[in-house]
Amino acid sequence: MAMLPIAPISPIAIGAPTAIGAGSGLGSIGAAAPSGGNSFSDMLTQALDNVGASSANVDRLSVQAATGDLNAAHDLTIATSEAQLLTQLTVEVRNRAVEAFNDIMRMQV
Amino acid sequence: MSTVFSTFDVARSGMGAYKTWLNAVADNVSNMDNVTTTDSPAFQERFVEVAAARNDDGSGGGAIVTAMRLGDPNGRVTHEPNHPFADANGMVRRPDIEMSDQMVYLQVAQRGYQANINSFQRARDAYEAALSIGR
Repeated sequence: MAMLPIAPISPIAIGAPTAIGAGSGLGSIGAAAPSGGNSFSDMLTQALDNVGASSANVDRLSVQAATGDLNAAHDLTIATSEAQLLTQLTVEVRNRAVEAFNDIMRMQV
Repeated sequence: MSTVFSTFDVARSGMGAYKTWLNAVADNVSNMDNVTTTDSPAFQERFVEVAAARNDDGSGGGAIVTAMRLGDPNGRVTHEPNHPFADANGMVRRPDIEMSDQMVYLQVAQRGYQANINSFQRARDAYEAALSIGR
């Protein structure tokens, strides 16, 4: 299944919010983030693409199950679990990022 | 290939391998009493050949069914003179398959399939726990 590119999520998700606080002691972590290449939005878009691909796979297997062409029942159930977890992961990353953004927006200046 | 949920792929490959074995055993059992004439081959027992898959980084990639092997086509020649397939000497050919072997294979294949489902479930629980870190 084409889920390989989602691996970069966690390092960048941590890196992007800390980059804003570059003036503090977190500067070294923040400096590492831009070298990662993708912006947070690119990464999130890519993750959503992966979720899309995963659920497309589930769709394909569901059709096979309905038409009696399904090779193995476990293929469908595993693909379903995978798509579900992938969606949860992406939503979780997005939630954390929004949370971090809101924290910064609430900051007194 | 290493993905976020790589254990799923490993467990799925194991389930696939055991499912193939279950099919093979079921086929053996269903054809076990096929009688043929002595000048044609007997039903050949099905064997599943499985090999370990390796990822590029050396980690385990699960199991892959590499081939289906066949047993002895000579089978067992038995003396059944009243059988319509019997030759001039009263001999017929039967597959060389032991029911007791097949029952053991069936049990092992079923347990193996269930064990793979278990490792899938444990992996899913672990991934779900990982998603709730810091929540």
